[in-house]
Amino acid sequence: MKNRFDRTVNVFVVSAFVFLLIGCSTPEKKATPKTHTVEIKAMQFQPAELLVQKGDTVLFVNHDMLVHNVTEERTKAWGSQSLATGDSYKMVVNESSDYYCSLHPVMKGKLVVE
Amino acid sequence: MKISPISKTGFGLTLTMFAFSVFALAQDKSKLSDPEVAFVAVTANQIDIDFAAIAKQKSKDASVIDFANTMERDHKAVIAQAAALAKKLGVTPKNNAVSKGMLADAEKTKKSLRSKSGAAFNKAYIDNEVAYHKAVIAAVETVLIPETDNSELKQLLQNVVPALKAHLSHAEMLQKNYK
Repeated sequence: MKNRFDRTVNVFVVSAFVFLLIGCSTPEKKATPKTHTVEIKAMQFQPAELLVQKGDTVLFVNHDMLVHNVTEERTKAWGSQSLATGDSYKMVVNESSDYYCSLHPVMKGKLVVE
Repeated sequence: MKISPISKTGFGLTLTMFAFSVFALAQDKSKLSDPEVAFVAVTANQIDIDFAAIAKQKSKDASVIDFANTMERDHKAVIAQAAALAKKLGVTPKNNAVSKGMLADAEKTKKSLRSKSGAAFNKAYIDNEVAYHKAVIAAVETVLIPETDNSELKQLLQNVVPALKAHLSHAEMLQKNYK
């Protein structure tokens, strides 16, 4: 009788431990992708360097008086069309990259995936 | 006001004359009126558009042509905004001694540019762009902005300065290729 009771207690303890372990090892919820904004004004990308998570979206908005674009610098892997004042360009970031305005090559920015 | 040393190509003289044209009036205490400031600003932009047109006609260098296209596009945009502001304010830009002097100097530079070709032209055009933007930045910051009364016109001139400085940096970047 006592053995049966002990077995029941053991099963209960082990089950509780397993449940506890499962609870602890549940994978962390992935952070919801965020949208960041880079403003183009006074011939600069602001902020010039932006830290993001993979999968985040970056919205570039041209608030400057001149036409600009956003172009990946090393291989031109991605880029916007010409952006007139008020225009914007949106992209999902999958990897770190340097970018610039190909019309004004001294304007540079950087996306850094954490 | 110190104008940076410029190459001994004749452009230096022309651009020093440009800066001199603007400063001479200031030194005479003949303050530019807002319509005159507007005309000087438009003239300075138009002169660089004219230089760009010559570059597009004469150069076969992609970097030079791209730069000239940017100068044409940006300075046309500034002129359009100045024209829109003048219309809004009911101001008619007024020709004046400074703008006339600038145009006369620009004619000499254009003549010199047209006389060159190939690598010599590319070098002369880019050297001129470096010197011209230095002179214009100095004139806008130290004469035109301080002499402007209307706050919206003053703001437009202030907004143009970062573009002029970016153009200067771009030209200086290219200049390293044409020594």
